[in-house]
Amino acid sequence: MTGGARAPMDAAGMAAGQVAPSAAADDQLVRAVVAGDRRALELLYRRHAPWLAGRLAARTSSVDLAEEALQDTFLAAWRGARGYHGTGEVPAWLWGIARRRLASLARRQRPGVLSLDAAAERVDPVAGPEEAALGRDASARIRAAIEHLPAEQRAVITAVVYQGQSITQAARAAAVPEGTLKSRLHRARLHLRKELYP
Amino acid sequence: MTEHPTELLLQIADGAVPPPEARAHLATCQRCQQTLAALAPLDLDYVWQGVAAELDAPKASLLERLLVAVGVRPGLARFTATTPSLRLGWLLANALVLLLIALPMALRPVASWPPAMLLAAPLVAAAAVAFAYGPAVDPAYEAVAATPLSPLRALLVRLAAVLVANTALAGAVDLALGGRGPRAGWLLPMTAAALLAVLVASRWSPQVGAAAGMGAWLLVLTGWKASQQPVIWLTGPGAQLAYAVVAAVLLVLLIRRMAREGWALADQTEPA
Repeated sequence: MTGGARAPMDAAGMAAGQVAPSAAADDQLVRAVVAGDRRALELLYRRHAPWLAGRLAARTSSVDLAEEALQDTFLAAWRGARGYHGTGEVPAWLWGIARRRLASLARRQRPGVLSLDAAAERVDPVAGPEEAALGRDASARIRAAIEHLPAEQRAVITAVVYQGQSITQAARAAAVPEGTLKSRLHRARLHLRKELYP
Repeated sequence: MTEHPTELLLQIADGAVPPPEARAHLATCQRCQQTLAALAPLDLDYVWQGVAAELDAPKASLLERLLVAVGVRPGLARFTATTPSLRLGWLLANALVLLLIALPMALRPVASWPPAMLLAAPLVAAAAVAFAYGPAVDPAYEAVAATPLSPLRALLVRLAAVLVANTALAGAVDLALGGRGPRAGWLLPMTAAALLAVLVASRWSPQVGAAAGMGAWLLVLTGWKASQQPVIWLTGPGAQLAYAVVAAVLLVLLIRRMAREGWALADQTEPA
């Protein structure tokens, strides 16, 4: 430790000089974003964009719309980080922005028509994959579900998720075109979802 | 955390929020990032590039933001706001010229002084056309040339912006001079001169167009010199009517020309 006698920075107990910004808590990242730190915004994106993408994509059939909403979300977070008072969780804050952005983008596309998705969104039943209990239980259940997959699909999940291969690598290893591999991966995940959240 | 939270990645891709202790790992572990990218229903890198590009984009000028606020489409707003004639330097020069011409009028009774200001105003408008568009003066010209906005339409959009700005300038000068300035009498001849300039510019270059507009006006001026009543010739009802007719004819010619060039094309290809 280089700082010697410096006190711990915050409640997280990380000492000054030791804190890599990437290890900072979400709140700290948001504070850095308020201060205009682009790197902090990127870290926030790497942490939260993947699950936000999953939720947004589940609420619209348009990939373009979901991508636009995701981009808008982080732009809004950049400009409006001051509006985050640290009272709630950062994920809840981000999801609040994201769903509003998606709703208003969808409205602009078809003004006056409230889609079924949007109507469902008003009631806001967050059941299914998003609210799944995360932990050892869930992991065990997922592993069991993967065991039940058809061999081809199980192989794709193993390569991509467990061995960390890219789509390109996995496709080469399986000797199939990337498109084929992607559709196998897609079918495998539909299977898993059906099994895990019937 | 050194272990990769494998099953968690599947859940995250479906929209589950990762627990706080896993977040830092996910943001920095390249392997997990790659897996998440492969599982994501959206192109996460592409979206981040979009975010970064927005953050890097030049900040919209006050005028551009104002235009967007009143409902002008963003692309058109930027195009209008980048009109060279609307840049501060040009506006200041314009204002200075107007003031220099108008100042003597303020010092003497209007009746005893030929309203050079009124006579010069259309010249200013035609000159504005020269600086409204084209490779010689426009920093956005390359970008504009690559867009489906037809050059003629582009010129008109900018001309409208310039006319509005010049009218406002003239109004301000008028106010500053306590009502003894140019007044609105110049708007119709100015519009006519500008339209002539646009019509010619649509065939040749904006600069040739401006020369035509100014030339025509100078011809009218030499005609007036013989008469002793230039004010009547400019603001008299007959004169104003004549300018209106000329402007209307020029406008019809322009619209016909634009129909031939196909504005439909420009309309369809502009982003909705």
